[in-house]
Amino acid sequence: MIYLTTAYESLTYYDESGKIIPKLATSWKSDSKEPSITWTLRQGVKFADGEPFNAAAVKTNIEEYQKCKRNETANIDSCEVIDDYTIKMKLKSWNSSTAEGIGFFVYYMSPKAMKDVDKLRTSSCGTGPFQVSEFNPGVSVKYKKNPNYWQKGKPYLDGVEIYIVDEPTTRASAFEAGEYDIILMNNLTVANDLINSKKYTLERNKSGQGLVMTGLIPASADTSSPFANDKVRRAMAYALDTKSLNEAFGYGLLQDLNQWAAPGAVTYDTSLKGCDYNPEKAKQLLTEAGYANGFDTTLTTDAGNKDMFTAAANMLSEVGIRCNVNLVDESAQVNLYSTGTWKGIMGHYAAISPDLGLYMGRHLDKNGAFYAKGILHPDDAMKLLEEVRTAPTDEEKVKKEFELQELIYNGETGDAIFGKPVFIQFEPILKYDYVKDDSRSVCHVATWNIENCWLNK
Amino acid sequence: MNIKLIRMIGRRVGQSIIVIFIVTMIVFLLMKLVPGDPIINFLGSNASEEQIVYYTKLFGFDQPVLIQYGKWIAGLFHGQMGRSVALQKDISQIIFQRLNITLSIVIPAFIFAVVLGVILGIVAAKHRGTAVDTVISFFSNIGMSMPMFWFGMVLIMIFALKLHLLPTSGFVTIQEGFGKWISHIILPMIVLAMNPLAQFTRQTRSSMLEVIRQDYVTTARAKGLSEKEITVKHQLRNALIPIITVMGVSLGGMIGGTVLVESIFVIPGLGNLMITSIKGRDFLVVVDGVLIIAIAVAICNLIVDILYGIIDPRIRND
Repeated sequence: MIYLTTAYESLTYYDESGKIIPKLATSWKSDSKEPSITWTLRQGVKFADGEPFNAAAVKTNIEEYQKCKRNETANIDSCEVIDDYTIKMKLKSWNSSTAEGIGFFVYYMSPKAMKDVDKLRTSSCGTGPFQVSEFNPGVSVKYKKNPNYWQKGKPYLDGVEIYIVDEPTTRASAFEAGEYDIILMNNLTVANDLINSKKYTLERNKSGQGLVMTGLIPASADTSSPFANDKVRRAMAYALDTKSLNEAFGYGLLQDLNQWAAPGAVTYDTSLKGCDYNPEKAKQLLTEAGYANGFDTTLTTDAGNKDMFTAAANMLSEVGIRCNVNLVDESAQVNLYSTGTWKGIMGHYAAISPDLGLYMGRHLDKNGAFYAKGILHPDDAMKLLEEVRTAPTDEEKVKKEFELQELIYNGETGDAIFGKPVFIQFEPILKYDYVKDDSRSVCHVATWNIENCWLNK
Repeated sequence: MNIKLIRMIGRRVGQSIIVIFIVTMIVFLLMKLVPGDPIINFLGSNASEEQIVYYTKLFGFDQPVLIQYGKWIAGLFHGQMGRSVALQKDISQIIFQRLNITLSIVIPAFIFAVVLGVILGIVAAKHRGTAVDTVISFFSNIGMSMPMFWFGMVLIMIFALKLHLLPTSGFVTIQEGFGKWISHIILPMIVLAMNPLAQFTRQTRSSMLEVIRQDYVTTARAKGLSEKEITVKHQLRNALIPIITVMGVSLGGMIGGTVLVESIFVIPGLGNLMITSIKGRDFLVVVDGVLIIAIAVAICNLIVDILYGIIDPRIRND
């Protein structure tokens, strides 16, 4: 999404605490009874081709999303243009996540430019501070300054170039040679070397928004599996010493987690007592579940977490959950979790942005895209998820989100349908000191306020 | 043109077509068997069931595998290679562009390896048993056994990071400036050429050693021919057959083997495209890439066979 948000903008974006704030919309009013959301649009905004950004343009874009059957706009029944800068979106049903889903995940393109689809494959026409000047799929995207940008005097840079460099050592070498100003280094071994050199500024996204939690999730939907029993799932969670795993494999760049939220996020429950490492408790729960002698199972992982999850498999074996580690590539993993056909335990990757109705829903909904087909959907969890979605106010929504966290992650009574979170990686971003105000690490990981960025050199 | 040569070429082409057909079918079926769905990879985590079904149908992936293969073959006869799911483009548009980039590294690397390899092989053979021969053999053994990845990283560290002489990675076309192009391809070219260079050196040395002792060489020397003439017209020409065989195999291997080099140096060539497509299960791109590589290997083998006939009249008249 970073490629997208350099050239295109949405109605809202997130501040540091995860609250949605104005971008292309200056305000919005939700009506849970009608149900609808009425947006007031920012005036004086133009697309890169000079066409005006207005209610008609928003309506055209929403309709295009709907033609492509995108989930982001699935709950919109119709759009009514009230005036040039006011648009009312009538919803099919009230959902507290819809404003956020539409506000952040729908991006706007010039309706005039939309007519030339072939041209858009290698260029862009949004309202963002930069526009695509060169696109090499899988290699690089180059952007030039948008002369029609609505924030006067910005952007400060003349252009931006984003390169995709899969090989982490090459990426690090190029960065050290000064060929890149900023890199995202998710290979922790290489990141650690660069950090230890103390030549670069290290930033980590502290907001928790859009970050991916890594955990281990059991296939509970299989009724013949021991993991269909919540005591076995909690036993699995108690058997994992995630703190030690993160210290051993994370070089200090991984954060322990016991719920579906990052510390500091609006849905993070500081009072939640999860399944802290306790192998004796794990054995006791297994005995209560009828597995006093343990059982054999499979732990599926990709190459990126192979070492850590092999260590996790050893921890599980010590309490009796004897794991055979199965290594797959990313695509096979996607296939397993989207079809829900993994056996035993698998790496769980989940975006843990604050809106649980939206983000947890993708995993918890019966027809959710991620892992949903492989896990149980307890009635009480589904009911609470629905209450989160239909909460009429933000305060009520957060209250229900806390209850949902408690229901799933509580160490004594939790369902543990998502198994156990192991870590959240705060995306190490390395840059030279002269790069200022890119805000790459401040808000949602998919966004940056690149229009504010400047180079002190 | 010699009728026997024409017949030989015709036979080779026919055999190559059958081999290519079998290879592509195996790859097509294997890619279909491997877990993973290109549509889900492309649409991402927020895809609705409706979207997945829609795009699966749009790309024809809901049809039986053999039908899909048949349609792909039929498309080839119309010059169509199918459509990439990930890149949303006709594959022919992407693949030939990437092949050009790969060839712009492979061909200079090959020429470099051939010229230097043959020269070093001749020098080593001519100075057999001396320090020169020992040094050349030593370095060619290293070249054969050195891991390409490690060698690439070492070159980057020395020439890019320490000496700041060359860029670490990336690619520019020759249109963007000859100097810039050269600076970007030098390191990948050296890495790619390293193993073939070592092979050509060893093979040339070995073949030359066999002909150096032949009676006709002694006769040529007795007739008063210069050493240069003896080396080129008599020794090298007779030593060429095995050298050309190795060259043919190497060139085909280099085209397919640029994957690692393109990964290290971030070159948007065919190898890079294949890796990305395998990961994303964009299987038509993979199959088309295999097709291109198989054709390249077949052409290399054919050229080798033709060159045999040109160099050795006994084979020509056989």
